[in-house]
Amino acid sequence: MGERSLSEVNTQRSMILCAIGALVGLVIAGVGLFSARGTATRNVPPEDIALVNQRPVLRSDFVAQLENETGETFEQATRAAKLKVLDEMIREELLVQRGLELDFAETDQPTRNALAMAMDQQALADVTTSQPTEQQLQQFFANNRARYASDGILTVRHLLIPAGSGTTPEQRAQKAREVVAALRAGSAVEDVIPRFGLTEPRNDGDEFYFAAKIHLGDALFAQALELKDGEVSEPLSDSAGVHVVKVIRDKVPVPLSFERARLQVLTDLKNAQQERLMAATMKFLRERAKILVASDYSDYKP
Amino acid sequence: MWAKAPRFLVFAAASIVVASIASGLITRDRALRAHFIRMPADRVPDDPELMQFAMSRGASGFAEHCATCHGAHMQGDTRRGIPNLADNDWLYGTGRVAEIERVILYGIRSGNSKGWDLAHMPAFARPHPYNLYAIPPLKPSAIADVTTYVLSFQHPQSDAAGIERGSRIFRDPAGGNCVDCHGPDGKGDSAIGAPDLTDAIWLTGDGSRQSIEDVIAHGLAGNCPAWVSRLSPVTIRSIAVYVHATAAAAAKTEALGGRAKLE
Repeated sequence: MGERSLSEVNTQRSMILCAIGALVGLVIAGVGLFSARGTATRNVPPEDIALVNQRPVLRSDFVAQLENETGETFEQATRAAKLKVLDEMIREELLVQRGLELDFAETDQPTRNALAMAMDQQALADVTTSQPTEQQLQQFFANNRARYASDGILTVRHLLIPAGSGTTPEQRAQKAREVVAALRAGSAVEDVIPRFGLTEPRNDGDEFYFAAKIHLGDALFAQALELKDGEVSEPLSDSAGVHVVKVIRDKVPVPLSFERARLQVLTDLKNAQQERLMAATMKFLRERAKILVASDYSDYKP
Repeated sequence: MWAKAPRFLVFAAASIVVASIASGLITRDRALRAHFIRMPADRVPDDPELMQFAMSRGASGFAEHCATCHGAHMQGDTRRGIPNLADNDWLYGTGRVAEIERVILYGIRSGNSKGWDLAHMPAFARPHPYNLYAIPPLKPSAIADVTTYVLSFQHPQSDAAGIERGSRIFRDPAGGNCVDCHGPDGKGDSAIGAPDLTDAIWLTGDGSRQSIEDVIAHGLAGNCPAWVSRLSPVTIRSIAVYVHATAAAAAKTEALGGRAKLE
């Protein structure tokens, strides 16, 4: 059979091919139209248990709520329990939608708090759940090496010549000097306390530096850090009386290796990233917002 | 008869057959996807056809989205507190497909309010160990005693007094109050992600005194992203099924190994 000329037109064939093409096109368009995301539909997508005004109630949420409420697995739960939970979820969705219509976000403080907190978390979600690379961790460690040391631990005996009790400041200062001399001469703390009528505000044994600082106060803590194990401080006066500290043991912080500090580095790096991201988010929101502040608060600055 | 038919009719018929087969396959795939999603998650492993459907999707989904943290073989990373998913020891839940699916959907401390975020390990060497409510810090010696007590769950410790003190702090509502999450027997609580301290599986570190003390001192709060808005329901469930099946296979291997040892 020889080739047919292109100029030879077969009307019947053209019409049939055209009809088939139109039919296929219509089918594809129809399927696309009725299955596209966001399209109003009478069918519930397989991942949902219900649609309420086209808002989905997820099957996974339904299963979780059912299991939480009944304390049973989905398989164990009765049909009645499932229908009850489904009804509760649909009811909740209806109320939420009504709440949105009434603009509760504008008027209801708990809703506002929840929204603000949710936005905080949403903005930080990527950073919170990301895993920095090993290189990022090491870089952060190298840039902040001073942060990564073991916890300092201080053990002291803290003695007090209390104010009041009919003594003058000079008498208390003199007694304190005697206490210091006795301790430095080797007297035991247990002997010195009754001999000089001292009190011991706290005897907590070993304490992390932060706790010792709270306990002793900034000045006395700073003095204690200057001392070696077994040494006794100079007397220090304040409104409570005159303080004397004997350092039993000071375990000073030592730098940690990267391996030892890894978990802290990870936490600190994420915190730093979160702070940066939050600052950037707020900057973006402020820049695109039109914020007018009353004239009597014109000194407001973010 | 076909030999006499116009050639275009043969082409048209062939096209229709091909289109029908293609649409049939698409319809079947859609039906399978719908069946896969509508089926209660915990029943998927009982259905070989759905398992076949899920496993390859799950493997590629895991490799793409989860392996960066959990590792290609789900082995986790104890240096970062990332759990091993292949050992059938579950930090959250009991390893049911529905529970795994929920973690993938909403994450852990992910910023999604439907995720798991009920508790985390306080940092007892900090002035404010916990950010949800006030609990007191522990002294260094108390941390050492609790560590001794925790170590005694698995290995005999010579410091009986330390174990006794550690046990008291472990139970003290005004002290460590470790029982609140880890339970009176130290076996943890998978409802809040508190690990079992009595087994040889460590979420972070190697179970040494140093690594236990570090966690008590500095706390721990791992994260897992919420994938609900980033992956399709089919992909999420497929990954859940894949993780479940892998862990179950590992448990089976372990059980067989144990039996072999006994035999």
